Amino acid sequence: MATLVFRAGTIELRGVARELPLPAAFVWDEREACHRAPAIAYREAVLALRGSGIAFDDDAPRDTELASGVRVHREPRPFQTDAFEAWRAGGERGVVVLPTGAGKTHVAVMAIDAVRRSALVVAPTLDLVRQWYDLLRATFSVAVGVVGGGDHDVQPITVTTYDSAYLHMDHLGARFGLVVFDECHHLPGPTYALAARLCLAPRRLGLTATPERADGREAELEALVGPIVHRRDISELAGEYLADYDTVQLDVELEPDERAEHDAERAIYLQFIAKNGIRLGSPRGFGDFVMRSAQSMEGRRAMRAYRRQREIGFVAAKKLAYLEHLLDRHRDDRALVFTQDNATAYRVARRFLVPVITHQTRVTERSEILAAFAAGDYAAVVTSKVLNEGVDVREANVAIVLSGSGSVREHVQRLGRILRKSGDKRAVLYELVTARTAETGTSERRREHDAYR
Amino acid sequence: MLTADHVDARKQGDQLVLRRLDAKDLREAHELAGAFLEAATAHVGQTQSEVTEAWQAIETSARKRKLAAGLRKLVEDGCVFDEESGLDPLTVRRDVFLRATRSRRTRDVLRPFDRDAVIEAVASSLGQAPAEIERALFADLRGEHVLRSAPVVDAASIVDAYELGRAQAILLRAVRVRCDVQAGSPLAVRAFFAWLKFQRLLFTTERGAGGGFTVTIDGPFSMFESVTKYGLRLALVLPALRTLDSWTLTADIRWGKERTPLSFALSSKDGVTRPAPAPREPAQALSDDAQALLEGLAALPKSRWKAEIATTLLDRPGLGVCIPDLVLRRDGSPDPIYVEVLGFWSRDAVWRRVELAEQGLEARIVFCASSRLRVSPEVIGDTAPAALYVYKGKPSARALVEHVERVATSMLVDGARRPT
Repeated sequence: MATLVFRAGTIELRGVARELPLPAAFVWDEREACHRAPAIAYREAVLALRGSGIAFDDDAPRDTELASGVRVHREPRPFQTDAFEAWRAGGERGVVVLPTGAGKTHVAVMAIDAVRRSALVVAPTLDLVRQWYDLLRATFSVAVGVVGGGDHDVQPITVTTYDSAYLHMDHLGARFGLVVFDECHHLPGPTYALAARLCLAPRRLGLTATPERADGREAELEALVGPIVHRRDISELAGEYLADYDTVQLDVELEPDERAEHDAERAIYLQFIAKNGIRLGSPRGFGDFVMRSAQSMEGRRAMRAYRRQREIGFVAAKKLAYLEHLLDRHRDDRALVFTQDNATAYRVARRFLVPVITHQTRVTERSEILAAFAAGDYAAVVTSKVLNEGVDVREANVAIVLSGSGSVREHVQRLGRILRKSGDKRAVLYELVTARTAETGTSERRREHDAYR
Repeated sequence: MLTADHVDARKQGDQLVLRRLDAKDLREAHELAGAFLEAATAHVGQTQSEVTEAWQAIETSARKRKLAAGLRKLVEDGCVFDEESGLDPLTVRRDVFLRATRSRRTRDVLRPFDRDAVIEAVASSLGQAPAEIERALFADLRGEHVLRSAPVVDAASIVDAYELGRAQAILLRAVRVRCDVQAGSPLAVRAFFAWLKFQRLLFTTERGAGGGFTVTIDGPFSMFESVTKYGLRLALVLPALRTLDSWTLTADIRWGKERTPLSFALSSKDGVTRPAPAPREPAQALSDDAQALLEGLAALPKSRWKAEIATTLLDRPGLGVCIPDLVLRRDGSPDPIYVEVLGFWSRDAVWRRVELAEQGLEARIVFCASSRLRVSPEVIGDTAPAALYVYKGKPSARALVEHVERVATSMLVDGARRPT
């Protein structure tokens, strides 16, 4: 009798002749004299094997039945029910797109409860892992474990980071019947995608507010998780399920000395671009600039000029002066100040004495800052990119985008941070843009979303 | 460890070839390494940002950009940075930010927020000068860390490390590695194999020409995708290879953004491998489970078995090689019983050992395999001078001794040769 087993992120079919025609996923492995397929192909492989009449013992899956379902019942919102049903109708594979604050997590809870098999939740940051862990422990009475951030506790429901999933999936990949990829737009890409490929789980749920990626690789989600089965945008849910909000764009002018320096540096940078025939509008344009700038002294000067003119835009004197005004105006609110880089975040923190969270902030301090922010002990927190995802402070009602990239996703995520419904809260997002600099175009690009129209 | 960004290599057909450092390059490399080391030594006591600035100020030609970046990385890796002791930055920050929030909320609307007053208030409460508070505020950030010591090596060592490091950087992109190895002493070969096992790499071994071995190393998923998942472990093969007298290495790699399939070759004759380090101590290459067993056996009360790290290769030409981890001897008996811990990595390795044992291994041996491999002790027949100890979780020294006792009563197969 042939046997199907899971091994190190693959499935092995033993006891079948090499010549026997098998499902396309299988390849003959000379090293171990067996047929082998990637673990992600498990479901299709089993169906195809059954269809072809090959008798086999299926020892591959190691998932277990959950002893019980949810212990805390919450009435789902209609769009959550729609999302869940669409996922089930799609063969329990697929991506659900809902805005931040709309309750994507609850769709996952419904899925785990319905499937009742051991489940793995993969999240991008340790903050999110902690949030999932707390929620799942409070909702289910089965053991919940964490893998990552120094923990390695595998339980019927386990939460892990994408990094840890990549590291450990080759030996954990058979232990779960359902895998949930939170913020699943992180998944496409050679490293994290491997975590999905090494995993056998036949049921897969992806959650995101913004599946689109700058590199266009969101198409890979279909193979890794499944197709988009349900999608709702911020503008559809604002008011009833999300806080109402305003967006305010403020253009600030550079001071004369800033303008002179900005223009001079920008000229050096653009001259280099023109001289080397670099087309910044093309997909590889900026990569070309980075590569060529490293090849000569002139190039390195151009790179310094590029960085300096950006920096002048990021921390223009008027911008910081207006930030001072906003911090005062919202001193009794909860404001999140977003910057494009860490240097600006620390500069703001030092100048305005506002707590700062970056990738260098230790988890304990990060938790302490967020708790104090939620409690109202802090009125503002400044951050670069690490809180684009992963902060869940219901009370946050002001976002101040001091600088950012041209990414629509990032901008929508930043807005999403203040949209969690709380009483009659009305949120406001300020976007401070330095006029007549590269920021103007960057701002236009990132605002190309319904949420800003 | 260096990365692909530090590697100056070019494609030549389907080969990736490291650009050799000629005499002039080596001279420049020594000068650069010396300059980075000097800058580090001169900046002991200063912040990481200041040291970085000093390194950036060292002029390098565009052609030597990767060389300079690699050398600098190695010097930086050898530096010891630490945060300034004194005030706890976390405590200072908490105090400063809470006071600042309160100050902003309670200030007179006609007066602007007074940053200096907040700093002074915190300084006063901690009995410090305001400048100390400013300095301590983010003293734990990496850029603010202070250089405690610079590497105490010479430029030549850094250049040697660079030559090894750039080859390893290529192996980080390896899917599969094949090595032909030769060594004067069995101990060196054994240590090499033990190292592969320690790294949990999948490898197959065959007797090669001239008494050497051909070893193919990869991971299970390698056949489906150009995964670099095993790259780090494959890169760590190189330092182990350098302990051998003679070797060649051929790696299948996926190179560049496009992950182009290429081949990369290296041998003990290449300059990249100097200097040859001293052979590894066997103990350094013992897996956690084997080490735990060694310690467990030593701690067993009244045991007649003495255990030590094995220094032998059990080679059965045409069938394969077995690399025991431990050797046990009973009081007064010259005949050893070997122990090889197979762990939980390769089920196939168990079948190969079973085959070896049944076809006449030259010594008595107990194989230890995790129950996660789903193998049964009965797979080894009664007539073989071997046993399979299947353990759950961690192997137990006591249970191992029971298997050893059983094997001790079996006879060596007729005609079996002594270990090499």
